[in-house]
Amino acid sequence: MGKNSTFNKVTITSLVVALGIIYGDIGTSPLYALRAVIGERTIDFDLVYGGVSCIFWTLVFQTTVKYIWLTLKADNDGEGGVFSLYALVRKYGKKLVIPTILGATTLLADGIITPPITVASAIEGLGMVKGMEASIIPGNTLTVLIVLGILSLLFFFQRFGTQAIGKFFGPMMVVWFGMLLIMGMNQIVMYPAVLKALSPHYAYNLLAHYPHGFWLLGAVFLCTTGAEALYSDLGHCGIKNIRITWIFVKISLVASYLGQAAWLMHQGQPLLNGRNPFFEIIPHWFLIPSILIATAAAIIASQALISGSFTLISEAMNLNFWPRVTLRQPTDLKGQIYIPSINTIIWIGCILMILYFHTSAHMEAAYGFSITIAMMMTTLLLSYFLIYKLKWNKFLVFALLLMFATVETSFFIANVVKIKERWMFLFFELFIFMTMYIWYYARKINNRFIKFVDLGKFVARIRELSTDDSIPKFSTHLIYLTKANNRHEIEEKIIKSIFAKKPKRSDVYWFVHINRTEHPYTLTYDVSELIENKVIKININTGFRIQPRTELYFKKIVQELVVNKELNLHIRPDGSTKYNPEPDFKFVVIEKFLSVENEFALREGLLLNAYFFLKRLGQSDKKAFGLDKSDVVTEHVPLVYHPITNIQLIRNEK
Amino acid sequence: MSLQLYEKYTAIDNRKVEIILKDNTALIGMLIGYFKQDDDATEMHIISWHVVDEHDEETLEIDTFGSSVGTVIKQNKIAEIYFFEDGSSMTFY
Repeated sequence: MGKNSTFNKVTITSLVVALGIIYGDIGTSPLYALRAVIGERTIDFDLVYGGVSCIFWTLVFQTTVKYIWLTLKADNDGEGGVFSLYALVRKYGKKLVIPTILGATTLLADGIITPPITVASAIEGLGMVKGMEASIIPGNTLTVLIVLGILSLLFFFQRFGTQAIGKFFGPMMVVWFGMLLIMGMNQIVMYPAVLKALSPHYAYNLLAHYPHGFWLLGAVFLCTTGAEALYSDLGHCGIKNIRITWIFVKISLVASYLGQAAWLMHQGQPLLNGRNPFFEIIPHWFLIPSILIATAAAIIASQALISGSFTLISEAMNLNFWPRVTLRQPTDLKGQIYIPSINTIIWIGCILMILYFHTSAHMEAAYGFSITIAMMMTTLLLSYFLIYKLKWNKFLVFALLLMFATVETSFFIANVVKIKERWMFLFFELFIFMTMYIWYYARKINNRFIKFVDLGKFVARIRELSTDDSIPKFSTHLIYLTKANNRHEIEEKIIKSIFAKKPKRSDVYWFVHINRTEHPYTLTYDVSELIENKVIKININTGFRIQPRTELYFKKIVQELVVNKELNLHIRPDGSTKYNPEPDFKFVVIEKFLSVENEFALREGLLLNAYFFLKRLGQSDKKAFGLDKSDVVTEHVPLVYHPITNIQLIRNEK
Repeated sequence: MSLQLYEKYTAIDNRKVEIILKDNTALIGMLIGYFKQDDDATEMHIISWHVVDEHDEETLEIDTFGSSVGTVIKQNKIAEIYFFEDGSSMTFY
C-alpha cells in the first residue's frame, strides 16, 4: 500500500491529526489579520465591511480554489510543496529551476516571521487581563522577554522531536477552531447584519473607492499567508483529510472575522488605539483560557513552520539545491527530521525579528511580501503540471493562470511597500537564494568535468589485478560510489583510482550508484554482475524524501545477495580466510578540489569557488553518504585533469 | 543530437572514428569517453567527447604526470563523424 493511499483514509483521528499539522499558520491569522486591515484608520462601515469582504474572497480564491481544490491535485506520490512540484515538472522546462529556488527561498524567509508574529500576538493579549494591563504592553521588555523565552524553548526542544507532544496538537487545534467559531458566532448572532459583508461588492468598493484602498491588500493578504504551507504539508495528512477539515476550518475562520467585524461596528470608538478585535470579542471571564489556547495554537503554528523548514531543506539537499548539512532523526516517527544548522538559523532569525520589531503590529507591516512571490512561483510550476501531467486544455490553464496571476500580482504590488519595513530580509533571502543557485549551477559545471568510460573495457584488467598476488591486497571488498546511470559505464576517475600509482587489489569490486527518483519514497535496487563475484554494480533508486544511507543500504543488499546464494562473501583466494573469515569492506570516496591549474570564465569561476567554499562549510562526502561508521578512504582529485597548454615557458640559454 | 551519437557509441564495439570539425579540421582516433551536462537521470545531454590515438586506447589514457592524453572535442564543434566499424556516418548541423 502506497503512502498516498495510507494517508487518504479518512477517520476521526486522521481529521484531528490534519487539523494539528496543516492549519497552524492559516488558523492563527485571525489573531492579527483584521487588526492589520483596520490599523490606525478610522473605523467605519466601508473599511470594516470592505476589509472582511476582501478577507472572505481572498480565502475563497486564494485558499479554497487555488490551494485546496487545484494545487492539492499536484501531489507527488502523496507529497506536496515547491520541491515536490518541481520534481514532477522539471523535465518540461529547464528554466523552472529559478522559480523553484525563488519559491523555496521566499517561503523560508517569510516563515521566519510566522513564529514571532503568532506568539507575540497571543502573548500581547495578556495585556487585557485585569491586573496585567501595566505589565504586558506590546513591545515592552517583559512582553518581548516572554516571547523570546517561548520561542527559544521551542527551538531548544526541536532536537528531541515532537513525537511526545505532537499527539496533543490535533485536539488543541480542535479547541482553537472551536473557540474561533463560538466567539465569532456569538457576535454574529448579536449583530446578524454583518453577514452582508460577505458580498463581494464591499470588497470592490474598498479597493476601488476607499482612499488608498488598494494598498490595504497588503494587510488582507495576512489571512492567507499559511496557504502555501498548507500545500507543503500535504504529505503528512493526505488530500481528503485536508479537504474535509478545510470545511470546518474555513467556517471557523470566517465566523471569527465576521465576529470581529460585528464588534468593530458596535464598539463605539473611532480608532482601535492598540486594541485587538480578536481578544475584544472574548468574554472577560474566558480571557486567560483563550490566551492560553491562542499561545498553544501559536506554538503549534510555529512548530509547523519549523518542521516545514527542515523538510524543505532536506528535500533541497536531496535534489541538489543545498549543501549537505547534518540531519538527524530525533524519533522513530517517519519523516520527522531535525537539522541543527537550520534550527539555529531560524532561531537567530526569530530572535532578531522580535528584537527589531518588538510588537506583532510592527511585524504585520513586514509580513507577507515574500509569500506572495512563493505563491506566484507555485502558480507558474502548477501551470506546467496541469498542462503536461494532467493534460488539461492549454487555454483553460492559461485562463486560470491569468486569474491567479492577477490576484497574486495585486497582492504582490500591495505588499511591495513592506520592503522598507523588511529590508534586512533581503540579505537573508539573498543568502538562501544564492546558496541554492550556487549549489545547483556549480554542481552542474562540476559534473561537466566527470568523464564516463566503458567499464567493460577495464573488466579484464580488474580481474587480472584482483588475482595478482604480487600486489598487496587493499581490501577484500572495495566499494566506489559512482554517478554513472548506465550499468556498463563508470567515471574515469574511479578507474584511475583503482589502477594509478598504487593499484588497489581487492577480491570484489563494487560500484554503487545512487539514483534520485522524482518520486518521494522510492527505495529499490538492482544488481548487475559484470564478472561473477568479482565486479558488481548496484543501482539504488531513492526518492527525494529518503536519506542516502549508503552504508546501510549496501549492507542490506549484500545480506540479501548472500541469502539468495548470489554472492559468496568468504572467498579469499590468498588463503587469509583462516586468520579472519569476516569480509573487509572498504569504501573509497573521491572528493574533487579546485586546482590552481583550472581556467574558467568569470561566472563559472565565481560559482565554482563559492561552491567549494560552501562544500567546506557543509558535510564531507563521507558523512553525506552515511559512511561515517565505515572504513573509508578519501582521495582528492583536481576538478580538471587537463593542464593548461598555452604556457610560453622559454628555456634560458647558458 | 548528442543522444543519437551516444546511442551509436554504446551500440558499436570498435569505436574508431574519423571526426570532421566545423572548422574543417579532421582527426582519426578512438572515442573512449564522454562528459555530460549533468547527472540528472531524466536527461542525457553530452557536451564533449574524449578521443585518443588508436595506440593509446589500451592504456589508462594518462600521461606521466597523471593528466589525460588525447583530445576533448565539444559536441557542438562536430560537423561529421564516420564510424570505421560499419562505415556509417552522422552529420551535425
